[in-house]
Amino acid sequence: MPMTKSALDRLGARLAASGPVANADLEELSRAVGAYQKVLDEVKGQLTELGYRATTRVKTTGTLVDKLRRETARLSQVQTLAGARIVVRDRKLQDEARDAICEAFESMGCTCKVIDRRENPTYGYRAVHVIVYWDGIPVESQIRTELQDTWAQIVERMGDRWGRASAMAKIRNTRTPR
Amino acid sequence: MGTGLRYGEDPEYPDAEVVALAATRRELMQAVGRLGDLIAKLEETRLGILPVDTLDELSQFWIEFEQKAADDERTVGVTASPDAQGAFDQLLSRAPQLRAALTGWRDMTLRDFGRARTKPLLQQGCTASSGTQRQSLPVTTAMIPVISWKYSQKKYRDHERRGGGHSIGWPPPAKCGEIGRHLTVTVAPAPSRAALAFCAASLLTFPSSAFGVLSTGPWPP
Repeated sequence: MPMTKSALDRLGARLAASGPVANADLEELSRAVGAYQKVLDEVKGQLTELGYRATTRVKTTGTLVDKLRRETARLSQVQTLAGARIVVRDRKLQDEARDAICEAFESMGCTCKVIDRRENPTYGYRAVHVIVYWDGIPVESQIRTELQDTWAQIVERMGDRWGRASAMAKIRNTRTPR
Repeated sequence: MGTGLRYGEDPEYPDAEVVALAATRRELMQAVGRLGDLIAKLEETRLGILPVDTLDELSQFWIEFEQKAADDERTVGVTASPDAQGAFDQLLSRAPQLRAALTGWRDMTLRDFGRARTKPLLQQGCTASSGTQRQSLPVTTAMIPVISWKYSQKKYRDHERRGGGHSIGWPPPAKCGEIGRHLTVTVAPAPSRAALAFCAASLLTFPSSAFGVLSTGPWPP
């Protein structure tokens, strides 16, 4: 990691502050994201060795700044900055993937944290998330079944159309601001 | 997940209305949440329906599936009992549109028979006549269970604006704290006569596959 945890959190605080983001902060963020990307590539390689075809992404600057401004999380604690996704056929294979991934990464000395959103779904979202801490950097691996993934894609599309990302959303506020 | 929908562009407005859907973001999230619940149930059920763990079990399942598919290729005249065929002839004599679509039905395979029987009904609605009475049944909307969240909610609001009242076919208003009317399952009304009953559930209806939808994944794996 090119910076300390506290430096990362200070950067997060500056990004979360309202107003335009300074160029220096963007460069610093770019270096930090580069470190996450490197770890993510390592995780993807391990997943491929386990036989899973994973798609990966690092959060873009825009969505990251939105998240920091929307929530009060510290940047070093954002677990979804780097993420991988695996889609399997059904719940049985989902369980198998969870066990295989935890076993593989723990045998390499990484810490794994499992969040089972099938037991505790959030707004209908179900999946199994395994957060792998590789050199202290969290990488979230989402394991979804095909149907869970389809549902999530539908909601994403609806969000694009009628949610925050939409410039075309025809939204009428029916309540005065709190 | 769903953050964009929950909050949209204005975090202070979870009750902002998405005009195109005549619903608030909160209601939208409740509806998709229910869809998620349904998917979870489906996946749990599917685990029980198709417990194929070994190659032997898969082979056995495949043999049974092929046998059922072969059954679908036999003709109605061979598979249906004489009584059922006689009853069907009587019903056809009172349903001219159906009779026209099913000329030579005894020589049809079960699969073709099913298609020929269903297609004109879906396109035109089923019209059956008996004596002096004549009834039309809008098969497309009345006989197929419809999950119509948007349609039912808009119609329900219109209904309320016109003075309300709980009529047959409409869901009762949701009570406080109850997620009631956002996802409505409309079920076909009970048929009032034999001819209509035939349209809804034929005496000669046979399944076209052994186990319904097998899997969304590649098959055989």
